Amino acid sequence: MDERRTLRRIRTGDSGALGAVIEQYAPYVYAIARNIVEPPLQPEDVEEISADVFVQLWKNAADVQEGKLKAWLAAVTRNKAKDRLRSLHIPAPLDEEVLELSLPGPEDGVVRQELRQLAKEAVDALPEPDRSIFLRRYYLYQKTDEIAAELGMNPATVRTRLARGRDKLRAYLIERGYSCEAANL
Amino acid sequence: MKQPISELVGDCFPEELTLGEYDAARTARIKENVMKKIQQEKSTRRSSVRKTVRIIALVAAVTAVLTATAYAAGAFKMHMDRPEEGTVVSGTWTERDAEGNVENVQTLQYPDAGFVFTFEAEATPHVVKFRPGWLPEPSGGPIFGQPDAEGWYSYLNDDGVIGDDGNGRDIPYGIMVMYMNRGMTLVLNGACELVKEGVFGDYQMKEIHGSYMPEYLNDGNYLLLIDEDEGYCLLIRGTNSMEDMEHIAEELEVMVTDEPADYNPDFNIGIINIGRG
Repeated sequence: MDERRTLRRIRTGDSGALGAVIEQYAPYVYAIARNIVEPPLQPEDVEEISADVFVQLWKNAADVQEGKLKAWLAAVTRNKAKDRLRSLHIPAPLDEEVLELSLPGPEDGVVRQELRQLAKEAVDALPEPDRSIFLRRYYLYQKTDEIAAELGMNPATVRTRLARGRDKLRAYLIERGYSCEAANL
Repeated sequence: MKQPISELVGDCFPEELTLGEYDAARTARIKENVMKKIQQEKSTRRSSVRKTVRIIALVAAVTAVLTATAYAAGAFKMHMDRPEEGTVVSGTWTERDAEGNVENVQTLQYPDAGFVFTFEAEATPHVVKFRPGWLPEPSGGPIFGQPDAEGWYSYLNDDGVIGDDGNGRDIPYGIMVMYMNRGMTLVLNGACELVKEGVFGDYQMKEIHGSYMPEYLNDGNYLLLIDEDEGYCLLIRGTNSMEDMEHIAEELEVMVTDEPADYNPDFNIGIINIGRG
C-alpha cells in the first residue's frame, strides 16, 4: 500500500481507500484490542472497538502523519480499548504494574511528557530481545505465555527478561532525578 | 505518583513488531461495521442537505431549461446512476513494477456511493483543455494547476485555506475533465442530490449538491457539462455557491486537442468529490 496516497484519498472522502487500510491493518488493530479487553469482554466487543478505530481514522485522517499510520492506529486502539473498559468500570490490564515515583515538583503535563521521553530512552537502550519482549508486554499488551510461544522461549525466561527491563527502567529514572521508592510489580 | 508502565511506554511504538493473523470473515465484519457507522453519521447530516436542495430547486424552476431530451447521438455515452441502498460499488487499482509485473492489487469498495458514472465508448476521447475567463476571488490557499504558454489548463484547483486545526472547511472551486472511457467507473460519494438538469450552451448539464465526508468540509456543488460527441465531461465543483460554478462555466473557453486521452485500465475506478491537491 502506498500510505501517502492512501491517506490523501481517505482525506478526500474515499471510502474505498479506507477499506484498503482496514484490509491491511484489521488483524493488527484487532490483536491489540483483544490483548487489552479480552477477557472479560467478548470477541464481538473487540470487533466493535476495532471498527471504532477505523471510523476515527475516517474522521481524523488529516491528523495522521504520512508514514505514521501504523503508530497512529496502535495508539488509538490502545486508548479506545482502555476507554471501553473504563466505561464499564473494569480496570485495564497492567494498570496494577506501576512505578511509584516521587516527583521533584507538581505533576503536570510537562512532567508526564518528560517521563515518557525518559522511558523511551531507557527502553530503546535495552538489548534485544529484551526490548521487544518489554514492548510486546507493555505496549502491545501481549500475555507472557503468548510472547514465549511466539519467540520460542520458556515463559519463565520471558518473565525474567521483563523483570530485568523493569529494573533498568527504574534505575534509569532514578539516575535522572526521579525517586522510585516502591514498585508494585 | 503511581505510573503504570504501560502508560510510561506510550511513546515507544514498536514499528517492527507485527501482531494478529488475517481472518477474512472478521475483517469483512469490521469493514461492514465501519461503513455502517459512517453511513449513520452521514444520515444525520442529510436533513440539512435536503433543505438546501429545496431552495436551489426553486431557483432551478426559474432559470433552467428542463429537458428530457436524450444526449446527442455520438461515439460516447455517459450514464449517471444512483446505486440502490446496500449496493457496494467496487473497482481495482493495480500497481506494477518497472517491468510491468503486478506488485499489488487493491480492491476499492464504495458502499457510500451517491452517484456512479459509467461510460460507453466506441472511440478514444481526446485531451480537453480550458481557459477560465472568470474565477472566484483566490482564497489565499494553494492553487493547483499550471497553464501552458497560451493560458490553457488541464485542471485547476483552489485548495482553500487550511485552518489551525489542519483542515479548513472550504475548497472554493476546482475544474477538471472526466473522460468517457469504457471500463472506467467514477463515483461521487456521500449524500448527494441532482438539483437541476438541462442544457448549457452546447452541453448537457447536471447540477448536483453533495454533503461530504470528512465532516470538516462544507457541502459541495458540482456542475457537470457533458459532451457525448467528443467523450468528455467538464466538472466544475467546489464549496462556493452553485452560482459561482455557473459563472465559471459561462466564461470558460474549451479546446479539444488532437492528443488521445489514454485510459489505463489498471486504475478503473476513481472518485470525483471535491478534494485537496
